[in-house]
Amino acid sequence: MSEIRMRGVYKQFGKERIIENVNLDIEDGEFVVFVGPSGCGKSTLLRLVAGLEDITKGDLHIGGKRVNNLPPPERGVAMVFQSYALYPHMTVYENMAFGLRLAKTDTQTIDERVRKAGDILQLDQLLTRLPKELSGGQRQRVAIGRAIVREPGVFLFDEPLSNLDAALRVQTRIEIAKLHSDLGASMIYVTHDQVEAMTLANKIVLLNAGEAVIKDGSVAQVGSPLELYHQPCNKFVAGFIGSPKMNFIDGELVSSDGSKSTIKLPDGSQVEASVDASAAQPGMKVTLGIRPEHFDQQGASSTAKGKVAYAEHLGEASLFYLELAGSNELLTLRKEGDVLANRGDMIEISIPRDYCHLFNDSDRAFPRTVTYEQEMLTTV
Amino acid sequence: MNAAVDIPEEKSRLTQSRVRAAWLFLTPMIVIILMVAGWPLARTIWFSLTDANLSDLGNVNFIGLENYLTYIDYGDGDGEWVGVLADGKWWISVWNTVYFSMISVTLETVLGLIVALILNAKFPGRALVRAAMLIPWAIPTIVSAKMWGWMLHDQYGVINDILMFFGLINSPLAWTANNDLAMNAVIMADVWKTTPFMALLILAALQMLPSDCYEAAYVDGIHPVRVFFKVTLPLIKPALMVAIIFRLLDALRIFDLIYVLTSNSEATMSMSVYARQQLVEFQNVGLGSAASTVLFFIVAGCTVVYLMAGKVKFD
Amino acid sequence: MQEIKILKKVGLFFLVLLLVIFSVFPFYYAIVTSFKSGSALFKVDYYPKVLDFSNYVSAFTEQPFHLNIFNSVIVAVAVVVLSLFLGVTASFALGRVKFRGRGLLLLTILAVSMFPQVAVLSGMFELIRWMGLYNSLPGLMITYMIFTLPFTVWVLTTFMRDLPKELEEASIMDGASPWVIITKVFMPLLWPALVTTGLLAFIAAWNEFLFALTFILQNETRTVPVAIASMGGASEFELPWGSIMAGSVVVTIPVVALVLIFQRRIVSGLTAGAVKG
Repeated sequence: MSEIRMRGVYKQFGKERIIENVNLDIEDGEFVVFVGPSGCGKSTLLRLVAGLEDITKGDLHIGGKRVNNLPPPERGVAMVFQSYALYPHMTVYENMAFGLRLAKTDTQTIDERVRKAGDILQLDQLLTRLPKELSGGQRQRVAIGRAIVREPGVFLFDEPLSNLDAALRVQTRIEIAKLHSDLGASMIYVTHDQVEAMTLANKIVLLNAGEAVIKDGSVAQVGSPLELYHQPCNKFVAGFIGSPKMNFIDGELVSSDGSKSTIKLPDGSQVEASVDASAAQPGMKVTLGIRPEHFDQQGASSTAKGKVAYAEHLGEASLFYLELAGSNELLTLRKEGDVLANRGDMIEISIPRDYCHLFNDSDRAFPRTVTYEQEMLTTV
Repeated sequence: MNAAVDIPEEKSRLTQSRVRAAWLFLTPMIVIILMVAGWPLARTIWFSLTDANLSDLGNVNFIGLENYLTYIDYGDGDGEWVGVLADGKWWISVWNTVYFSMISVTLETVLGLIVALILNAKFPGRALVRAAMLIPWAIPTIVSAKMWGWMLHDQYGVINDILMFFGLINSPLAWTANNDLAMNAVIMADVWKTTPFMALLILAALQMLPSDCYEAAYVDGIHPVRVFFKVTLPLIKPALMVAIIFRLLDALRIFDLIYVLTSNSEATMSMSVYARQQLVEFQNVGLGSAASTVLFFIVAGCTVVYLMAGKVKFD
Repeated sequence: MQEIKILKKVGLFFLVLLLVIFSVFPFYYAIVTSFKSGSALFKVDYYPKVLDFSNYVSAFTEQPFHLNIFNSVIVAVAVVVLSLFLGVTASFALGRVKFRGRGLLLLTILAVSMFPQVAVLSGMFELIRWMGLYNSLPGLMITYMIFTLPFTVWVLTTFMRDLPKELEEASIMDGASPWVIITKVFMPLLWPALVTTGLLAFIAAWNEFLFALTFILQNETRTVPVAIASMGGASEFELPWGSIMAGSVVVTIPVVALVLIFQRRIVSGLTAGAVKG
C-alpha cells in the first residue's frame, strides 16, 4: 500500500516561501498531476515527495509511515527526470540495473526485471546501446525503465515530456497512461501543460503562484479534470484550465435567489446565471465567467452583439475575438470550423445561463446550481 | 502578508549523511593544508618574533618586534635603527618588486589583449598558433631564465646581435650585469613567458561573448575601435580583472626568474629573494621570517582589497 | 575594396608570424645552441650548422642528470596522484553538497594557492627537518602539496559544479552513497577534467624551484630545475652554456609535447581555475 498523505507541508529556501500549507491525499493507484504556472513550486512539491529536498514543516506519510526523514531509496518511490538523467557511460541495461545492483539484488532477479521492463517499453533490442546512441524518445523510455525495474509503489514524473517534439509527446503521453493502467502503481506527474494534466490525471492538483501562495496556500484546487473544468473554485483556476481561456466580464450583482442570479453588465444589459449568489449582497462587484466554447448553448438569457477584432480559422474550429460595448477586454468566441467571419463583421452571441460562472469581489466562485453531470446531459 | 521566518528544518537522513560525507571527504585535505600551509605560516610568524638561527632552530628566544624594527642605543647618545624595516636593501627589494609587478603586468595585459584580438580572427592554422603560444608558458621558469640569460649574454648573445644588425645599438649591452638594464632583462623574460598565458585567458573570455552583440554593432555600422571600447572591453572586464589580479599576486612573489637570471644583484632583488637570502645564506631565520611575514601580509592585503572591491562570490 | 581585403589578410599574416616567432624563437635558439660546442658557441647562428651531441653527453656526465630527471618525475607524479585523490573527494564536497562554512573554506583554499611560498619557508624547513625528511624526495612531495592541492581542489570544484544536477539526483534515487556517486557516476565523466588538472599540477611540480633549491642539498637528490640552475663552470664567467641548453632542451621537450597534445584541455583548465567574478 503506498497512499500518500501530506499534512500542513511547508517548504522554504532561506526566506523564500515556495510551498505553503499543502494538505493532500493521494490514494493507492491514483494518477495525480501537479500543474500550475511556472514558479508555483510544483517540481519542488514533487521533490519533497521524492526526498530530494527536506520538508521545512509538516508531515509526509507514504504507505502509512512518516517519511520526512527517510532517504529517497527507502521511500518506495522512483523518479523520471525531465532531462532523463541517464548515466552516459553505462549501457541501457546497466542504466536500468544500477539501482538494483546497489540494493544488492541477486543477478538473476536483476536480469529478469530489466528484461521485463525492456519488453514493456520495447527496448529489448537496445539493451547494449549507450544513451548517446539513442533517440530522444528511446532515452525517455530508458528513464522510465529505470523506474519500473525498482517496482516502486509510487512513480514520480518531473515534466517528462518537455524535451520531446510535439508528435512524440502525444505518443509518449498515451504510453504513460497505458503504463499506469498496466502497473496499477500510483503516479505523480508534474507538468505546466494543462492538456497533459487533463488527459492523464485522475486527480489534478492545481497550484497557486505568486502572492496567492502566501494568501491561500499552495494548493488552488484539487479535483478530477472535469471538476476543475466545470466547477473551478476561483477565478485563477477558471482561467488556468481550458484553452482558449475563460472570458471574464465585470459586472454588478442585481439579485439572486437560491437557483439563479441576475448580473448587470457594463453596457447596462442584464444577464441571468444559474448560480447561487444569495450569500452576497446585491450591488457587489462580481465577475461573470464564460468559456469561449459555451456561448450559443441552449438556455440563453440574453444576447449581445460584438464586432470581430481578429479572427482565427483553425479548421476544426474558428476563434473570434470580439469587441463588446462598454468593455475594454476582447471576448473570445469559439465556433465550429465552418463558421466564417472577417474583421469588422458583427456577430451575435447569446449567453446561456447554465454555462455561466460567477466570482465574487475576492475572486471566489459562487456555487453553480447546475452540476456538470447535468450540464453534460443537456449538451449530449 | 506575514513575514517569512527561518524555521529550522528537520534535516532528512539524506541531508545529514551527505553533510557527514562531505566533512569526511574534506578532512584529509584540510589536515594536509593545515600541515603544509597553516602550521608553517604560523611558525614563520613566530620565528619572526625570535632570534632563531638556521643552524639551531631548537634554541630560540622571543625578542618581540626586534626583527621588524628596533632602536639600538649605543649608550653614548648614539644609536641606530635596525630590523627589516630599517634595512635599505629591504626597501630596495620592495621597490624592485612593485616596479617589476606593475610594469610586467601592464605590459602583459596590453600585449595579451592585442594578441587575443589577433587570435580571435579566423585564419587557417589558428589552432597551431595557439599551441605554439603555450610553449613559453610550459617551459620551466628556470629553463626560460637560462635561455634568456644566454640570449642576453653581453658578448655572444643573440639579442645584441639582432639589435646591432638593425643598427639600434652600436656596441653590445651587458643586459644582466649592468644595473641599469638588469630589471629590463627580467621584465623582458617575464613578459615573454607570461603574455601568451594572459592572451589565452583573454581569448577564452572573448570567445564566450555572444556574437549577436557584434552583429548588431556591425549592422549599425559602428567603427570596430568603438565597438572594442564600448562592447568588448566592458564585457570581458570581469575575466580580465581576475586574470590581472592573479598575475599581480603571482608577480609580487617572484623568485626563481630573478634568482637565476641576475643572481643576487641588488638592482633586481625582489622581496622573496631578499627573504630567502636572509634565511638561508645569512642563516638569520628571525630576520628572514620577518621579511617573509611582511611579504605575506602585503599579498594577503592585496587579496582582501580585491575580494572586497570585486565582490567575488564563492557560492 | 578587394585591395583592402588582401592588405588586411597580409597584415594579419605578418602579425601572426611575428607572434609565432616571438613565442617559439627562444626555445628554437636553445636547440640551435645545444648542438654547438667549443668556439662555435661564441658565434651567433640562426640555424644549426653542425649536429654535435657532445653537449648532451656532458649534460649527463658532468652531473647525475638522469637521476635529476628521475627525481623530478617521481616527485611530480606522486604529488599529482595524491592531490588528485584528495582533490576529487574534497571537490565533490565543495562543489555539490551544501553545508555551513563552504564559502569560507573555498576562500581559504583560494587564499592558500595565492600564498607566497617564501612566507612558509622557515616554518616548512622546521617541519620537514622535524619529520626527518630534509634533503629527501618525500620531503619535497609534502611541501609541494601547498600549491598543488589547493589548485587541484579549486579547479576540480569548478568542474564538479558543472556536472548535471539531475544525474546526481537520479543516482540518489537509485540508492547511491556519495562515495558511489563519485566513483561510479562522476569519475567516468570527470576523467577529462582529471587529466587536465593533473597535467597542470604536474607542470607546476615539475617547474618548482624555491623549495627544491632550499630543501635539497645533494646533487643526486636534486630535481631538474635546480640541477640546471646549478650547472656551473670554473667561474661565473665560464658557464657551460652548451650543456645548460642541452639539459634545458631535454627537460622541456616532454613538457612541451604534453602541452601540445592536450592544449585544448589545458586552456579549459586554466580558465576553470580563474574565479568567476
